Formats: sequence, C-alpha cells, structure tokens
Amino acid sequence: MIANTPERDFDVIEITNEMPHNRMGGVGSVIEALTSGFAAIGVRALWYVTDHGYQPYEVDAILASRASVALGSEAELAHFRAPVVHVHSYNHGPGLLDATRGARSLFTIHSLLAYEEISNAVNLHDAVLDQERLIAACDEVVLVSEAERAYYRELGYERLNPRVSVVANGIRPPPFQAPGPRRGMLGYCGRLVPRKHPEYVQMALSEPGFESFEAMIAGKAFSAYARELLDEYAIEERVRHLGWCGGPRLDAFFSAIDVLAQPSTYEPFGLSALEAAARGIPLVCTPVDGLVEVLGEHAFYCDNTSYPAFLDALTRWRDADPDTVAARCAGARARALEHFTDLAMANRYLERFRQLTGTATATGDH
Amino acid sequence: MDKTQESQAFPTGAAAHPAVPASPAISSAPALCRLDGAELRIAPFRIARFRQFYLSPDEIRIDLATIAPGHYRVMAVHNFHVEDCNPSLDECVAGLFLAAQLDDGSWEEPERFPVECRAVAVLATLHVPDGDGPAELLP
Repeated sequence: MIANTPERDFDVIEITNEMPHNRMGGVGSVIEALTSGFAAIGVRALWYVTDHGYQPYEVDAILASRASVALGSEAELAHFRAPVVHVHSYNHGPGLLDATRGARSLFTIHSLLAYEEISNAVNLHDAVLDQERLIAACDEVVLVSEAERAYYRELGYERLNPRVSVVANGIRPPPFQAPGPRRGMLGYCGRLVPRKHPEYVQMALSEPGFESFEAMIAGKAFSAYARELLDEYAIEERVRHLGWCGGPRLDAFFSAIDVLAQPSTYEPFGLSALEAAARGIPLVCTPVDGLVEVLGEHAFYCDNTSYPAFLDALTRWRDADPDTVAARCAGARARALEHFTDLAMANRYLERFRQLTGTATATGDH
Repeated sequence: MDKTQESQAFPTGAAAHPAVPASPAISSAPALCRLDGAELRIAPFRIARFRQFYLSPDEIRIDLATIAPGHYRVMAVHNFHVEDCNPSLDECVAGLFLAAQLDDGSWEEPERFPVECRAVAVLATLHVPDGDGPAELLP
C-alpha cells in the first residue's frame, strides 16, 4: 500500500478503480467533481484506489497531484478508518467490504451492467454477477438517476438490496460559451459503443442540407465498423476522430462544436450532455433516461431512438432561429448550474452519509 | 510455428508529453524502425493522415524476446485508450501495434477488439524467427 497522507481517520473512504488521471470512463470525472465538492463543504475524504490498471509512473503522478490518496489491496483498506465507505468500483474482489472495520457502506452504481450488456449486445456475465454481489453486500445502493432506479426495480434488484437512493452527478461549472456564428461542426462525445449510436451524427453528414457540415468525434475505442462507416458514406475528409479527450482537449472540443449529439438508447446519467449544457451548447438527443433528467425540456429531442428521428431533431436544431436555440441553451445551463454542480452532488452525498450513520435530521429519499 | 498470436499494443505515453515540436509529416517511414540486438526500436514520429497529426514523442523499445515467432506489421495507430489532454485538436496520441500475420495470410487489424485503435501507417514488417536466430526487418 502506498499513500501520500499520514492520516488514518477520515469522514469517508471513497473506494474507486479510477482517478481523474488517464480516465477509463466517467467515474474519473465524478471523482474529480466529488473532490472539489467535498473540499468546498469540509468533508475529509480518503481516495482509496484498488483493483486499478495504473502503471507505476501514473501512480506517481496521481500521488503527486492529489491530496489524501492511497493505492493498495482490498485487505489493506484496514489501515484506514471512517464511519462510511463509499464504493465506485467496477472491478473488485469478493472481499472488498471485509476490511472496512464495520463501517457503513454505500455503493454508487454508475451504470447497471445488466443494461450495458443488453444495450451494447456484449457478454458481461461475470461483471454483472460481481455487481450483483456488491449490491447485496452493501448497506445502501445509490443510483445516478430515477431512470436507473426504475431499471433497478425491473431487474428485481430490490430483492438483493431494498435500500436505494438516487444521487445525481455533478460537475465543476465550466465557463459559459457565448453563442456565436455557426462553424458547421457537429459534435459527439462518449464511448464509441452501440448504445450511444456515434454513427448517427456521421450519417447525417451525407443528408441534404448538411453538405457543408463536418463532425468531431471525441470518444474511446475505435472499431472496424467505425472505419467502414467512413468509407461507406465517403465522409473520411469530414470527420475528425479526436480519441479519448480529457482536460484542456475536452474544453477545446466543446469550443469547436456548434451542437452536441447524444442519440443514446440507454444513458444512466449523461455526463457529456451535462458538460455541454453547462457551457451553453445546444443538444440534440434521445428522450431517454438520465438525459431527460439532466436537460429537462431544454434540448432538441428525437421522437424515438431511430436514425430518422435523430435526423429530424438535428434538422429542427439546424433550422431553428437563433433566439429559440439561445433560449434552450440558457434553460439547460440554468438547470445544470442549479442542480448538477460538484457542490450540489457533494451535499447530496453528505446527506446520504448522515442518513446511513444515523446522524441526519432530514428525511431520506430511499 | 504459432501464427495466431494475441494482439500486442504499446502505448507510447504521448499523453504525458503533449507539447511536441513540429517535424516533417510522413505517411510511411521504414527508416523509423531498427533492430538493436533483441530490441526493436522505433524513433519518435509525427505522421500526417486523416487531416491530423499522430504523435509519438519518445523512442519506443520492444523486447522481441517477449514476442511469439511469426511475421508482424509494425503499425502506427491512433491510440484510443489513453486519455489525451492535448488542446490542439489537429494532433492525436499515437501508439504502436504489432499486427500478426494469420494462418490465412491476412493481418490482424488494430480496429478489432480488444485493441480498438485506428490504423495510421505501416512502419515496417518484422520477422521473429522460431528458434535462436535474429529477428529481421523485411523490405
């Protein structure tokens, strides 16, 4: 075990596979926002990284750049004490909670793997079982949207653990991006997986009325399908794949696009949509799950998850007058800044910790 | 001879060094690769393709003792797994992929699972012999 703090007692131990450094997915972004949110309200958290894939030079960078971090095995958790442990892990051994010295445990499910399996048509059998075991073992489950809570019930997971609450994610508010003249750039941000339909925005380039547009794709995991799509639609010269973007590159991506497309069939929360909304960038998206909860009525919604419905919504955005677009952007941004900031998320989690340890006075949400 | 080796990708760590000085663009450069004993060395490169530049700022060394015998394409790829924080959207993080030749004569593709990176250029073809002989870079 290696740590950059001599402290052993904390308000909470946050257990994760991923830090805001060479992120694997959205969990690293949530950890980043929790770090700033907890710091703002005085919650003393230990960031305990276990079952991770970091190389030694990355471990050094994490320890040098972040306060109160420890990296070690699950058993070595016993070196630290806190009334609550808060688990974000996707990868974990069966004994993750054994070394927590009786602390109350909260497990945030950032994505229900059973639904990832269905929506991406991949076999995640072992990972699903691991997630179900942890659901059963923890004291309380947190889901990131009401839509996820509905899926949790549909899956019958209340039999595994009936104590469930919803805590929406948040982000540190980014600078406002004032609307300017359109540059003809469509944007997509997220993993390049089937459920997110990154192909829709590229297919639209070959439609009438979009001949002058290009697309920027910010996301992880290229594929033979992505390569063949560029060939089939003869759009290689109009699509720029930026790879897995973080920090200043993600800011540059958002500065370069006119609109963010999120045509997902399943979206537990919608962090990329929130990032765009908080900047004042218009969104064209499907009316599903967390996207609706984050954006409310302030997006150009598709009627369903099909490509024709996406094209119709994208066309409505393209043809909308500037005042209509500006009003939707302002509404989405105001909603983001009111409900989905790092501070709001940290306060919501603090309330869960208090409920779990019996130190709260407010009523719970579970 | 085993010709169905698993894919072997080598992230370059370019994300940790986003500020790379410009160099002439190339589309293919066999001279980038050389053998040094049992090591394959790939010089730093900056490849222009798809209207972007693919950067590998440091020399990459691959211990060929760890590579199964067979023929390989030494490929520059757009590394889609490392988080890229470079604000210049014209530049992307490159990686190295050794694409094995399969029994039917075709080559592994970096776009396939689990590598899922984009082919940018073939830098060289490599033969790793079955036995004690030295590896060769083929024309």
